[in-house]
Amino acid sequence: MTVFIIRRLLQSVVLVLVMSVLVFLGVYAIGNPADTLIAPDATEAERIAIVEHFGLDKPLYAQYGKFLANALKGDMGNSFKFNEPALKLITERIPATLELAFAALFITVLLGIPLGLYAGFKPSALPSKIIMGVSAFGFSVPVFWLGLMMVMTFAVILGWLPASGRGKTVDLFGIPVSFLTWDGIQHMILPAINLSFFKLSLIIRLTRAGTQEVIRSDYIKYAKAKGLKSSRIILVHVLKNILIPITTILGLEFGRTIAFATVTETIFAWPGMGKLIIDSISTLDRPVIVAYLMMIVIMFIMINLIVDIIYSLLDPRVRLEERA
Amino acid sequence: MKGIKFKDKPLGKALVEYGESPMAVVAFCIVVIFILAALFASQLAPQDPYDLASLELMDGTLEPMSESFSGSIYVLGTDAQGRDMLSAILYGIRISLSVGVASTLIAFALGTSMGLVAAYKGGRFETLLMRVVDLQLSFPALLIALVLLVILGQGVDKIVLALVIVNWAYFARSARGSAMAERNREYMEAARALRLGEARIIFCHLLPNVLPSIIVIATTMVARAISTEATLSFLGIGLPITEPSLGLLISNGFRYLLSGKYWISFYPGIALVIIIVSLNMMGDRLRDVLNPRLKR
Repeated sequence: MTVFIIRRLLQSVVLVLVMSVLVFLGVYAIGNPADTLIAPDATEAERIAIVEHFGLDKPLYAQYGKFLANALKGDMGNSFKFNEPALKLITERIPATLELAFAALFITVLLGIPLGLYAGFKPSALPSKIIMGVSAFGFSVPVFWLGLMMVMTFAVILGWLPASGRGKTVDLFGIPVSFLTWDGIQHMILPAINLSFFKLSLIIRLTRAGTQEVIRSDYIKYAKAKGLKSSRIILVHVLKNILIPITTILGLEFGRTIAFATVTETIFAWPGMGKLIIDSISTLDRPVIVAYLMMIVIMFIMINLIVDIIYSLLDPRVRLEERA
Repeated sequence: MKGIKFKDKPLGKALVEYGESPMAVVAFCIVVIFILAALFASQLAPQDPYDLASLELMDGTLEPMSESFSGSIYVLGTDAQGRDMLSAILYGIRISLSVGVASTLIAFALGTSMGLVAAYKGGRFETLLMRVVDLQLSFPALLIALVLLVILGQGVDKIVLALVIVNWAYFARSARGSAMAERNREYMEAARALRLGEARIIFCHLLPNVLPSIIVIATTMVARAISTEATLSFLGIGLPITEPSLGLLISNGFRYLLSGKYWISFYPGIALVIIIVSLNMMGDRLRDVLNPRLKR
């Protein structure tokens, strides 16, 4: 186990370095940031001053070396647009994205598992068929389309819920959060549902399949024969056994949630890091793009590692050493 | 083979079985209609939506079924430039479908051959390939495509390339998986005993036998590629404004959606969802028909 983790961490460091070169080179290739930074009516002297200030006149490898040295000190450069540290811009927006992602996961678990259990126990009942139909739909339609339809229906036509922004936030341990104010919750409902829809469909399917498999097993028959209450059978005997695959998938899905948050945040103007990266791409704000991509790469490597470890803890049949 | 009727041959049997599900037949018909619409967009469209001379600014953001300045009817309304949405959608389907199909075909060819060679040759190449595939599949496709497009920039060729890089791994993994099951079968031994060339064994003997399971993936992959392209174009990092796919049309109408002018976004969105859902339904049915493991 320890050997596995050390090896994986070493591999991760190499991967992060390779990605940093790729990202740096790649992002360098998109356009000349000097054009977006400097007003068209700037004098030649102003132009040179700005190019020198940002180090854009140095050769590529020197810029990369400087970038890497600074990055190791936690300095990813200043945003061209906001003139603030890029890393600070991103970390400021992480709470909003995480709040949205957790809200989506919360909805997924709260609705997905009961609905899946129901569809698994009564596969031929009409509600089950509706649940499965909706989940098949949620599985294939694009997230952004669903978001647009939600904005159209609930914000524009019905006017029930706000379509954009985060609403009123309160500080919780110094971090602004929306879920403690009614206004904030109202703003969160649509984006959270939008972000959760795919996962919800997935969890419903998984839970249903798991339930159908488990209820045929001998220990459930035995539990029934013992005369246990069906609530106890569901909560203890069924749920416990289907929870292992669900936990793993939810862990992996967390990464996807962060990725798809870019889409949801763009539609609902949610001020998270997904919206920041899309805005930065359109303004060619190079330091922010690079910092975001590096953060995401590191985050994903960590998520994958944690999921692997949790999986091996939950299911002793998985031997990590062999796969490393 | 002469005495055997077509419906008793494997292909015929599969087609008959496919036809047993009415929903799947409907999905197939819809896909055919979309393909025809894409092929004949320039003949079918009432207006060339990208010929600026034929656009009438007076007709900007008209509701569906309203009459134009010159007397004709805009069935699905117009956008801010007075562009007929029906025509724009037909051209959009053409772009979305071409990007989806082209990227899937290239990914199919690349991924399948890599997967087959890996399964046949084994050794270091196989280990390396599978490592790369595993690593890539642990990141969400949208994220990889996003990173690639930030690096590559906008353009049809760039988005096709990004989708190929994103999707080849799925083909490689399943081609290898199916080929592993086939590589020790008798016909493979016979082919090796005949001292046929490696390329011939892999592509003339192995490939036809793993093809059914890969075709299933290809169908859903086209849907996925169309969806990913639309998402990226919606975010403004996919196709350039000169190649308006369905996703880009939806993105352009987004601003107007908030002021109640729903049709600019709504109808392209409906077209997008119909094609994606139909392709997925076809894929599901094909999987049931072609996957021998599910046969009772």
